[in-house]
Amino acid sequence: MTHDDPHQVLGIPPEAGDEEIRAAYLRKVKEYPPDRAPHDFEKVRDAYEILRDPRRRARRLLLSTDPKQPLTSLLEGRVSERRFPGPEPWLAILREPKP
Amino acid sequence: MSQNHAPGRGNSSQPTRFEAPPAEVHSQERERVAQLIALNQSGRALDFAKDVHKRCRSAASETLLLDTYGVRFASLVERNLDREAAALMDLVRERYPASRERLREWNAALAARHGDLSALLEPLNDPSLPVEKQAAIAAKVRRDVLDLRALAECRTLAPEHPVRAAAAALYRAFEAVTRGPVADAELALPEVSRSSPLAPWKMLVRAIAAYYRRDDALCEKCLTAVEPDSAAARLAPPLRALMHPRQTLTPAAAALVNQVGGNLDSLLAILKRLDSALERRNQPLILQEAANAVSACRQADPGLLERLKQHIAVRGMIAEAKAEKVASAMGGPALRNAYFWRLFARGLEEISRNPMAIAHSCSVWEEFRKHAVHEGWFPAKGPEAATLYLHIADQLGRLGPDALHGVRGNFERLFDGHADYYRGQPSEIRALMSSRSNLDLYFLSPHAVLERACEADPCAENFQRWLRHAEEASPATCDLVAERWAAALPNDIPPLLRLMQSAEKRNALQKAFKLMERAEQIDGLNTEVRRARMRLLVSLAVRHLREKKPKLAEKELRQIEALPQARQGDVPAFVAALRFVWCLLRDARQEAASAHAEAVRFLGDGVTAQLLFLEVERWCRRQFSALGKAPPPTVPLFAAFGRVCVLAEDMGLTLETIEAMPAQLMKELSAPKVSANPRALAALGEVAMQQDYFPLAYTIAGAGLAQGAESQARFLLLRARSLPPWEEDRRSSCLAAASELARRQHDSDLLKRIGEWRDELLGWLDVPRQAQAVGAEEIGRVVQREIKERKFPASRPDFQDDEDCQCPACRAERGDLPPELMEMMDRLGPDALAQAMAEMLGAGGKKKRGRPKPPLDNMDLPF
Repeated sequence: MTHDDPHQVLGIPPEAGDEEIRAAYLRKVKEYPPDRAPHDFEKVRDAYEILRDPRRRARRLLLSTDPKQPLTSLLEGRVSERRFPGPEPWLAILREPKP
Repeated sequence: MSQNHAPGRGNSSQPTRFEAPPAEVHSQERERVAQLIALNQSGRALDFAKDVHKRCRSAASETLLLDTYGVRFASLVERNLDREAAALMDLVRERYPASRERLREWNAALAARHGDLSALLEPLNDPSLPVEKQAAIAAKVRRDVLDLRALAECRTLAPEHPVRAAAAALYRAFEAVTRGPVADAELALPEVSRSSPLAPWKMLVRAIAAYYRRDDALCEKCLTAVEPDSAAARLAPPLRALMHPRQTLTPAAAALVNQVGGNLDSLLAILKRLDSALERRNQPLILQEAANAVSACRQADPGLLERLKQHIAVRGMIAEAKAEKVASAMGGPALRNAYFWRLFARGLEEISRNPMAIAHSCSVWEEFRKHAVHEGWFPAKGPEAATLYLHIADQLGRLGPDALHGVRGNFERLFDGHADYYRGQPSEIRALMSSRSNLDLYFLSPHAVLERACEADPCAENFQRWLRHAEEASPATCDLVAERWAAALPNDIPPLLRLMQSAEKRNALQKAFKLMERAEQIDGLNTEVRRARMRLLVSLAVRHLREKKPKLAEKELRQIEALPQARQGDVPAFVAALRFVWCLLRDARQEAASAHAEAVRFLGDGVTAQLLFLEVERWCRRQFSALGKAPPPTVPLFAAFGRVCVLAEDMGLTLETIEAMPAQLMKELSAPKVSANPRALAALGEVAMQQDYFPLAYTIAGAGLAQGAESQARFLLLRARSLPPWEEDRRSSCLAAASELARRQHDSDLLKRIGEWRDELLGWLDVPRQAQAVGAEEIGRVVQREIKERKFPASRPDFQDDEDCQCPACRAERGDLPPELMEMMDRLGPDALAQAMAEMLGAGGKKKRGRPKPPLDNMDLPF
């Protein structure tokens, strides 16, 4: 587990509510039991501690955004979409003269 | 090559009389030709082959030359140089008529290139076609046939011919994998065998399918299986580029990568440049790179576009780029949804250096709140909304009351509800815009903001904060806040205690008593409530004793005597003192004497009892004491008076020291190795501070510090408070040490008192808002220093160059006005200032109730 953001640690969206947070926590604890993955379990527990308190969660919601964050960070962890343009753009490459 | 050298014109195997015999083609020459071909230099290879043939003029050299012509022809065809390829064919036909067969193959290849595969495939219909010919055609199909559809529809072959059937199946699969997800069954392609010339296409189709399934490892594996010289291999580089972006792609391959959208690298590079431009605040570059970024993002990741625009807009604002120009460069303004407003507000907080900017950030947080609630981020009431209101209150806290007042005036005149930001926005966003007529500037009122926080999330912390603000900003509203708290959380004790104390201060003792009873119903064991019951009963009894109503006082005295706490510590002596006064009111001197004797018995000391009874009599407004002469002291005065001070503190009794008492107390406490009850010393110190006996308080602090570690934090605070204004360094170190000790002992009450005192002094003494962190050694050093420094620092430091000390005490002693009043006097003149001060101090205007205060003369002014 490499994330630090508690929402990412628990694998839930930022708008997740109490029930969703608890369900995600229980799921992750099963995934990373304390006896087998103590480090990851600690991360999961810390993330849950942060998110379970609605006031702390609200404070995070308001203040976690960094307006000065580099724009490049928007691409972090982003997986590009793989679109299906049909055969034509592929065939166009074959019609191109060989370089 | 000249025609004279063309061996095809005659019988090349029979040289003429004048011709030299044919020479051998050296193996190095063959290798050189092959090498140039491998290097994709077919033109140079052809020239070299011509030279070889010119030298050799043999059948072998002609074959080498024609082979090289074939490679050159293929190269021209591959580069779409059809006219040049046709001219080359004509030239070979003319010079080497015997190469007819070879020319037919070339022709077929050229036709195949244009989709006419009949010439290439027709020989396959001949069942007697030699195997090597079949293999050569298969190799051409594998290498040159780019159009699967043409192959699938080629009428030269029967529909069931394996090559045609394989092509048809492959074309269907190719279309399917490029149009959408496909099932495994569609990729089985049993029509295409491993030995089929179209087998590379099969692997390519599987590679494309694996790519879309995000199985890049399988995709790469399939691509490796595609033979590099096959026609299908032409699609391997763009497919690899989709997985591992690289710079050099043909235009069509780059277009494919953009359309499939796998490449975020170009966007990343642009964003790096834009970040750099924003850092350097280079507006032209910001605008240029913003436009590039938006365009690249639209291509590579359209889902990210709006968010990117929002971040660029806010970063541009922080970099002081013109908002309209940035919006124009991005092809339109960013979407003003909750995400934008939150980012914008945080951005404003980053750059807010003046009151208007801070107020602006608060207004933007309000926009965020509206949109967040509308978009379902959180409900209108709840912890999230409350946290937002508290954050706005934090921001307003950065402004002083004067600045806030000025900002509010400006907002009322100028604020238009962010109309500019809503321009060009979708209707669902614009629907949330506040019109000029219904603007609510609540976000500029800490009181209103905290009220909303308590409404959104009625918890004790929020009400506590609202109450604290009310205490500081408008004490008159404290009761209102406490009432709202008590209504919202009926089981909370603090608001009831707050209302009770307020009523107590107004002398509304019955109301205070009722509130105490309410608190008692909630938590009868609460220490403060229990102390309050005792204190209120005592106050009621004292009131009735003052009013000479012994019957009423009797009722309260009985209740007091029935309380368990009335039997603890020195309290029975205090109750006996009240009973003593009550007896005197009823003229029951015998009973009074018994009460006094009982108190002496409880206290074990006649002097302590004497002091206590004197204070209680004074409290009950009895003019003359009935006690007579004091007994000879058996304990030090500080011990006796300290016990009385503790009782007074618990019962709400205000003490007055008796003449000459401070000198005696100081003398006793200055002695070495004084042993005293720290609680009594602390109470004594408070009385000394209340009555401005700073040297006495200073001495008490020193004696208290010497009593041991337990109460050192309290006595360090007392020492700090008692120091004269010019002892800034000592005061700061004492405060820092006191804070640290209180923190270690988890003494929240003391920490609160330190904070309050620090806030109180901030306005006129140089006291740091936050205590500096100190270690255990430093604390020990400070304590030892303060124990040793027994003498009160009465003398001020000498000021050089005739410069006067500007501390408030020295200014007051010199008769100087405070600097602010000096400034006012310069502006308004002394008369106007004196009048203003008189009004402020209560001598001006009419008082609604009670006796009017006499007008102040000059001597009443505190300077």
